[in-house]
Amino acid sequence: MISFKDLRRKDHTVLALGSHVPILQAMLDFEYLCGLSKPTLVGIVQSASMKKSQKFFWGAVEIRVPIFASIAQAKAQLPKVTLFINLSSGRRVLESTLEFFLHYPHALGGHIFAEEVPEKHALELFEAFGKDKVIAGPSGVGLLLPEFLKLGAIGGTDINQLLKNNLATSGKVGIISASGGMANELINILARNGKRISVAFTIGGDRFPVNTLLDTLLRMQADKQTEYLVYYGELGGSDEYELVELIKQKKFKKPVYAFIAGKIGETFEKPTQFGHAKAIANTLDESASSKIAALKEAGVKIADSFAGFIKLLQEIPTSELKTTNSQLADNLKHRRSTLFTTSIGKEVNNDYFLLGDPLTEWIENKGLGEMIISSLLGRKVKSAITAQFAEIVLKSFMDHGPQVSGGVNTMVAARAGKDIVSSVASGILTIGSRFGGATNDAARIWFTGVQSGLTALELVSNFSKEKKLILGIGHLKYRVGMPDPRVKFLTDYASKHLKNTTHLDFALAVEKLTSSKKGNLILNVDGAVAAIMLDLLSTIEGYSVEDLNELIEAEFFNALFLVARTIGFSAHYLDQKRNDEGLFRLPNDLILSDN
Amino acid sequence: MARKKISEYTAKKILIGSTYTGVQINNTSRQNLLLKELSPKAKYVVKVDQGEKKRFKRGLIKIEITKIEIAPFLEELRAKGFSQFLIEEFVPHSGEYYLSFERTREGVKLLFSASGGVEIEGSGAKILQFILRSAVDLVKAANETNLELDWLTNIYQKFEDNYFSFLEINPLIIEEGSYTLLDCAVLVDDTSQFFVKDWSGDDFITDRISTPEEENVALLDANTPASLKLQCLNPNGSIGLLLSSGGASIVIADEIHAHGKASDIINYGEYSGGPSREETYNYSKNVLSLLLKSTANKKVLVIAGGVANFTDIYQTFMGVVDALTEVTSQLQKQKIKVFVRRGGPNEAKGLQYMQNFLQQNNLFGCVYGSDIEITEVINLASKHLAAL
Repeated sequence: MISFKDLRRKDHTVLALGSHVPILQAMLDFEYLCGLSKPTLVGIVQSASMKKSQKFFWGAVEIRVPIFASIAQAKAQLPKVTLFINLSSGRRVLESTLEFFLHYPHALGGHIFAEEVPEKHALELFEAFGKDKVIAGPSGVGLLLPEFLKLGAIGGTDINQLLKNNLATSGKVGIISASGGMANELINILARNGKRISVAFTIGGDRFPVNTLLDTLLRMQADKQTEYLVYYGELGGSDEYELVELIKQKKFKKPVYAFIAGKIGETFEKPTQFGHAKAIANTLDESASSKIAALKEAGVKIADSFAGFIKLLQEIPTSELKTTNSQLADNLKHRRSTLFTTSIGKEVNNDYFLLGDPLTEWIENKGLGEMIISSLLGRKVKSAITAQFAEIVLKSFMDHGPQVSGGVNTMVAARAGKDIVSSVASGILTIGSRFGGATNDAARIWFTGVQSGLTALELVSNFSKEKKLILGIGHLKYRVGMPDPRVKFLTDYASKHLKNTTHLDFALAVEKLTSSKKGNLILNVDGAVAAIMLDLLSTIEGYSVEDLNELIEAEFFNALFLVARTIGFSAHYLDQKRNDEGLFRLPNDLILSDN
Repeated sequence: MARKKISEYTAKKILIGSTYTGVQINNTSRQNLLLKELSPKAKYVVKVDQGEKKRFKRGLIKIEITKIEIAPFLEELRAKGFSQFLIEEFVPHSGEYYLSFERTREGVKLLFSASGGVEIEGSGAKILQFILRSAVDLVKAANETNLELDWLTNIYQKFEDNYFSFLEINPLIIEEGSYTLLDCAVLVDDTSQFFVKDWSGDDFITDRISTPEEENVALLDANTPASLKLQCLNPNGSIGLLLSSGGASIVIADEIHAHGKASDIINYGEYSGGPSREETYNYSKNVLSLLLKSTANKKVLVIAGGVANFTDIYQTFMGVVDALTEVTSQLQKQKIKVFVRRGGPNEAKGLQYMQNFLQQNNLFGCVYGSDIEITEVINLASKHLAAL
């Protein structure tokens, strides 16, 4: 049986199943105030998330916590997790909690936040984990070990609440509460009166919490740091008689201060359902008055009114407050959300650092190709071969004459008297899947082809069935027997420097099939660049399948053309300005009028 | 969020299946059509199907009646305020047994007695008890009760598959190997609607007539992850309650009870779980409607709750003020003052906002935060009521 002592450590790793940003942020704020060196929240599992990470504040600065689509994916990145916080809806609690322990059987426990968990599901979780793990809920606001751990909304979600409740100092009072709101009320009352808490556990208002009251009481008894117990219960159910039994059998020996709410229920004609699922007294035993009488008889300190209860609590000795670092609190209060996240560069003392190195270092010691490809990838390339290949690609893409459609547009705009930015933009805006922008789509075709294990023949027949073009194949000018010299150069380079050319081999196998049908259906420069770049990144640079997928989704492969051809279009713009032939108009005989 | 009763008709349809011939009557317009189908020669049982207990004693069941006697009896029951009925063919019988299942932490608890037909508790009848956790337990229970294993297994399976929490068949008639469920009551776990197909929220029965305000709130509650509950207790009481937190709301209601004013409470309820401004507005609107409708000449409104963990006080108070704004002149006319105590995230801003509003509109009773005890607001409100 995991004890509260086992949880009193500062190196937990918490996985959130589902998200509730204010609650998670408050956990980080608590940890920051307690002086933890880093947040315990290591990941969020959210299958329907559009984001890859969620920003949180750690003190005054922001950090990113990764979002995973499944617990299995989280496990691959985070082999060790000690606790979970399940923030998913009631109907998904069983499935997600079972899956969590399947992947993390050694985790210590967690908190289930949802209130609408079916009884049958709660009991299944009780059978599987109730006896061993520490699990607060379903329902309630989690569990709190001041100075160490706040798992859930317990103790508040507002910085002022965390400070007011003095949660960075631990003490001797244990709290068990059937209500999240009343747990916080008690934390607040104790803090105001100088009492410090050892552990606060919301067992929740459901009929079948995963940890029973009995087991939680035994944990409290075993916890050396806890010297007093404050218990909040309600009408409904008969769990309180277990406390009575434990006291009678001398298995629970610490002073107990209890409040049982719900005497109001006894004034109604019929059993009335109150706010929590368990809060309905169908029998006399389940009424607040019967429970109060039994607890009183067992020696529990119990009052008739809540005001009286608060007076009773004054008996508990006060204990000193550790001085909180006011700088830490200040950092929490003065913070501002950032609007963007970047991994490219930052300014440090007026010096710009690109991917971790000062700009001057790049200027002095690195080539343009290396600098461009590293910037586009958002990380420094590892190999000189990649840098060199990037340079070859940029050169190949830089210009291919004024005849190409983007070039024509640039020239037309230039001759219309437009400025350089507008003219070059008109050229760039021409880039698309038919002109210059096929590299990314080609990369997608080679990548998914290789990943799905299709043969070149299957791929070709799939495309022809769907009457779709294979981007990366085909050229207007070049054909079998008159190959594109750029493609030849690129493929030669690849076979010289790369041991493994899976994507290029696949592309060439496709070319063999298509070019045998029609001579100009050869591998074009877009297709070749896409294939070789995929091979380089996946082998020499160590990119994973997910990394490559991400690059394709972000259109990285088209960036290579865009960067290079901007130079070419600028050249054509300047050239037109020098030659200044005046406004261009298409001669009539170059347009066919069909009416 | 709780165990709810479903109609006996739905329960039997699930347990017995397609061979069940009971007829449900829940509106007058279809009544004649349904009654026409009945045989003029057969004998019938007519009962109120609204979760009522001790139906026989209270005259809510009539047995061995003929087709023509049914309509007048239904009229009689409608006059008593009932609206949902069940008609079944009368089964002459002798042996009456008792059988119940209840979901407990230890397993499904089966109670069986050979003397059914009466309130079994405290009747002195011999009761056999079993905890069902596996097929072996079912075999044991079948052996000792002499119930047919296949029949028992089938009922147990229906109980599990339909997420029942409680099932009582009393009496159960067994004659020559044929089982008849004469009367039966079922509580389902209402959080499991997503997982079942044979019952839904429409099958829940309420044993009293709800106010439109309660119906509005039930509808709101069904469509939000937050919790919104409202029950009208004394429509002409003097204390209106706008409470938050499942626990603190009971503590506050208890405090009113301790002041000897339980019968003055107009409504009990609570909002919690971080409702939005709009949801809080809609909830408050219904509470205010009950408060304004009450004919008591001295009235107060108590807006109170514990120290919230994650419900934003400013957001929710904006919703409350939105609702108060709509009825300000009526509140003023009825001389209703508002007593507030609440803590939680954004507390200072929320309380200031509420205080400004109440003071500007001459509705101010008190506004307390988490530094003042939860029960103090009731002291002040009841002193104010006494002085009116």
